[in-house]
Amino acid sequence: MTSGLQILILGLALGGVYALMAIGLSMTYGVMRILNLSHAAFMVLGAYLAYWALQILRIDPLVSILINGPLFFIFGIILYRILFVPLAGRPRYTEATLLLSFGLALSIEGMMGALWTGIYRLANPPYATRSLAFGSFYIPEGQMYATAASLWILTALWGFLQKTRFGRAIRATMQNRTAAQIVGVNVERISALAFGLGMASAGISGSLLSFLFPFFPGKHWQWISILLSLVVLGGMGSLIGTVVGALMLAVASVYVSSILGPTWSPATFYAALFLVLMIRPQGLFGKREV
Amino acid sequence: MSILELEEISAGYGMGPDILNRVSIRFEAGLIHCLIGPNGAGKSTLLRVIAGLLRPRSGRVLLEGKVISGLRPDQILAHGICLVPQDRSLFPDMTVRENLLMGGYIERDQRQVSRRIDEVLEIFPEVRRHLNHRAGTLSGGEQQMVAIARGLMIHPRVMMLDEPSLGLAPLVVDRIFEAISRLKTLGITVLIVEQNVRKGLVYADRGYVLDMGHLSFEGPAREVIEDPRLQELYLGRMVLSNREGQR
Repeated sequence: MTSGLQILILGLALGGVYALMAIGLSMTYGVMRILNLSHAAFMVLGAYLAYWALQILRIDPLVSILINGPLFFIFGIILYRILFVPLAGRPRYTEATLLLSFGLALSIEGMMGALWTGIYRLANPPYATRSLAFGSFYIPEGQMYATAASLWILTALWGFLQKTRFGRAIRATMQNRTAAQIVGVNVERISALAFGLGMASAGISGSLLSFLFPFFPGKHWQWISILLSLVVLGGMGSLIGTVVGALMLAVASVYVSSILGPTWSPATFYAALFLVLMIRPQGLFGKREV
Repeated sequence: MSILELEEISAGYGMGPDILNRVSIRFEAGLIHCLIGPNGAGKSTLLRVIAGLLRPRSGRVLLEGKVISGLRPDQILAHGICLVPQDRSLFPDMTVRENLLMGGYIERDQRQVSRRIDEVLEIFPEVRRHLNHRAGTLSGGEQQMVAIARGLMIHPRVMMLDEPSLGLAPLVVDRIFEAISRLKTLGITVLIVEQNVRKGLVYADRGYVLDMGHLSFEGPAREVIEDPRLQELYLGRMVLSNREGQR
């Protein structure tokens, strides 16, 4: 059995990537109250694009971030304008968007199955199979790059949200939509921006996923369950909460995996989801809705 | 000269009935106007219509003769009309400084925004010591001050305050109304909706009494306080509801 500290390091590294995967989901919910169930489907789509970019064009998955990010950003804005804007102002907006994104996830899964069959894929850049040793600790090289990339992107996003005018407008809309309107924020435009950013994070996560975890079209259901448990633990719509939730659950899942065996690892997330909903439904950083 | 004019405004929410029923009002430049009336009279709705948060079903809102009804809230704000709503609508997890920055959101030039913050802090020096505090941690009166200061960030011509005294201790209420008087010295036209009728009218130049979606009567604030119709409106209601309670 690996040492506790080794597990902690691996768990935190994994958590960094989970945080990037979940942050867009959390932001989309926070700004627009859209629970985007197709978020992970777009992640898997991003993984396929990265996979084929490596196979055909010899583009490294880490480099494909630069393609997937902008591509999914633009795609997200178009998607939001076409599909979600017509629903705005409906009395059951959140429920309607839940169904819409569920349907979207199914459609993307079907499309991916038709294009790329149901075979398990895993991109295989040279660093995917290497490990780096630091004294008595080791970390898979691919995992380290993916975590570094995630942290870099999360930091950039944090800077954008804290320091720029549009970033502040996104945070303001998350905290109080009416108040944002009152100070002159065009909340529809900010919503489109936030949805685009959420999708960009899904696309970028896909690039990382492509060489970290084997995937096939239907894999997104497992991912969305994991991501939802992270977001719920952190508190719906709290970005800090999502990052903390991701780190905590990733570490927990690696511990469970090392003690009970890898097959139990996914169960960690569902168990956490149940516990959070029973004990503290608003999550760690969430506020009770009044 | 009237700066803001409502012409036959009717408005309501969703499929519901008209809350405002063909209301016509003129507001004079540079004065403090106080709108009073029983619950459900349509006072807050009137402010929401002017701010563009609610589209009127019919009628027009004119700012210095130009139609502004039908514009988006951010466009109306750009015309210099701002609203401080009943719940203050601050951003609770942002610092007071960030709230002020958001107040200047429609101004793209960030240096201009920082200059405005300095100006606003000169008008409301009491806000300065809270600049780095989270808005959600302030007391009700402090939040109201910040909300007014945030409204000032756009150099408004008209500032609308929805029940600024709501939930505040009497001493704090005086401070808020004193701050509102400062707005007048800056040449800003002020519209206040108040449940605290006497307080509102004492500080106001003109009073407007709304009842059941209609403008019941209006006049110089001092005359409105003394008007027997005002007492009838409030006391009459109370007697009526007491009687119903006894049944």
